[in-house]
Amino acid sequence: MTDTWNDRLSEYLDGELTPGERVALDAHLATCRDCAATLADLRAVVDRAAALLPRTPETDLWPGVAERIDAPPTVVPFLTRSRRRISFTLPQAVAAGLALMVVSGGGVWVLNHGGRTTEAPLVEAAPQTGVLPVSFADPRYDEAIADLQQTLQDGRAQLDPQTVMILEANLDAIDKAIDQCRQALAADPANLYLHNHLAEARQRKLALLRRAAEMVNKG
Amino acid sequence: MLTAGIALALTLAQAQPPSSPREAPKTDETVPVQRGARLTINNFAGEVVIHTWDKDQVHVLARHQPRTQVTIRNNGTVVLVSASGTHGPQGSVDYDITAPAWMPIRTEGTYNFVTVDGAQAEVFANTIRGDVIIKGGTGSVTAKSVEGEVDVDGARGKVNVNSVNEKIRVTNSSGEITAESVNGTITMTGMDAVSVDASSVNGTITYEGRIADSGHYSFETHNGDLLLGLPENLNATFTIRTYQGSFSTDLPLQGVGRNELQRGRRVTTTLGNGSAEISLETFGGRIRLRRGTAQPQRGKS
Repeated sequence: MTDTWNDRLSEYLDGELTPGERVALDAHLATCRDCAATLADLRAVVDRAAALLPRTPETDLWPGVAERIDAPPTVVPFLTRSRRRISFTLPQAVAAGLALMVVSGGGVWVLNHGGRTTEAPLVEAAPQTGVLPVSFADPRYDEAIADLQQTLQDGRAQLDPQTVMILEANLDAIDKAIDQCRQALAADPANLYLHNHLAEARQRKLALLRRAAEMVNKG
Repeated sequence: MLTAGIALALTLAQAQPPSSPREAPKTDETVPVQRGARLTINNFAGEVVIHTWDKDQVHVLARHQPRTQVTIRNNGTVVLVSASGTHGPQGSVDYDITAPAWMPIRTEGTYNFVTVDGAQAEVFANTIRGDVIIKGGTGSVTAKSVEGEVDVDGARGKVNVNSVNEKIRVTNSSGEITAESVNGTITMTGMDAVSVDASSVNGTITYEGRIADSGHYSFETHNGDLLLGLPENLNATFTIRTYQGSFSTDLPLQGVGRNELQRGRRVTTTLGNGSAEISLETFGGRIRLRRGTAQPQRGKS
C-alpha cells in the first residue's frame, strides 16, 4: 500500500522533515502498520550501513609520495616534456586519499541506503527502467572475493584436500543461496527482505573465505 | 614436506582413537601458576583434554612419539604448551592436562580434538578438523571448528560457537549466545539465554528454553528450518519473515497466516506484554513454534 507519507520516510529518518511534518508523520506511524514496517526496514538498512567497517584505500598513495619526497629535485622544462606526468604535493596526496575514502564509504552507504539520484552522473550508464538491486554491482566486494578465492586457490596445497573439499562445498552452498536470492530479486527488485538477506549471504561468503585464507596463511 | 607432515599427522591422528593409550607417556610435568595466568595449548594434531582442579598448578601429561618434544613455558602470565619435532614434523600429541578451574584456557590446532571440562573461566578452542567439547566456561566461551562438531554444555556469559560443516549443540547455557554454521544444524536446549543470534544457510536451528523479558533472540536461515519450543507464559514480540517458506504454531499468535507472510513481508505479533524480541527469518525453510518442546514427537522432524 502506498500513501502520502510513504515516500517521506527516508527524509524522516534523515531528520529532514520540518517539526510540523515530523509530528504529523509520528501520528501517522502510530496508526499505519505498513509505514511503520517500512520505516523499521529503512532503519535496519541504515544500521547495517553504519556497522560497515571503514575500508582502506586499495591504492596506497604514500609509497609514491614518499619516493618523490626523497628523490632529488629534477627540473623539466614544461614544453619539453615528452609525456604528461601527474604529480601530487603531500597535501594533495593526503586530500586524494581522504577523497578516495569518502567516495568509497559514500558509495557503500548509497548502495545500502538508497541515495538520491543526481542529475549529473559521474559515468554514463544505460537508462534504468526499474529499481536495481543494491548488491548486484559492488566491484569492491567482488574484488575482495576474487582476492580471497585466489588466496585459497594458491594455497590449496597448504591445506588438507578434504578440508579444501569441505570449504568449497560450503562456499558452493552459500553461492546457491546467493543465486536464489538474486533470482528472487530479479522478479521482486524492491523487496527489502531479499536485499537484506542477499547482503547477509554475501557477508557470510566473505567471512568463510577470510577464514579459509587465514587457514592458508597459518598453513 | 608439508604434505608429508600432514599425511603423517593424519595417519597418526586417525589410526588410533584419541583416548587409546598409544604408548607410555613421554612428558609428565607440573608447573606452579599464579592467579591471573592463562593457559595456551597449540597442538597441530591429536587430542587435548583439559580437566580442572583446585590447585594452583598445571599438570601436563602428553603422549607422543619419541622424536616429538613437548615444551611447557611459564612466563608468569602465560603457560604455553606446544610441541615440535626433533627430526621433521611433530606428529600427533595427546594431551591430558589438569589446570586450575579459574585459569583461562586457549587451544588451537589443525587436526585437533578438544575437550575442556569444568572450566570456570574463559575458554577459547579453535580447530579445523576435529570436534570441540566444552563443559563449563564463564565470561567468554568460544568454540570453533570447520569440519568437526561443536558441543558446549553449561557455559555462562558470551558464548560463541561456530562450525562450518558439522552440527553445533549448546545445552544448559546462559548469557549471550552466538551460533553460526553453513551446513550444520544448530541445536540449543535447556537454554537460559538473554540473547541469541543463530544463523545458518542450510542447517536447521532448534531452540528450547526460557525467553527472558527484554531479551533479544534472532534466528535466521536460508533453507534450514527454525524450530522453537517456547514456554506458554512468555512476553515476546515476534517478527516473522519468510520468502517462500512456511509457518506453523500452536501458540496463540494472531495475524500470522499464509496471506500475511507473502514474499518476505514482515509480520509482527505479540504474546503477553511483548517485552522480548524474537526475530525469525528464513528464505525457504519452515518456521515452527511450539509450546514446550520444539520437536512434536520422537522420530519426527
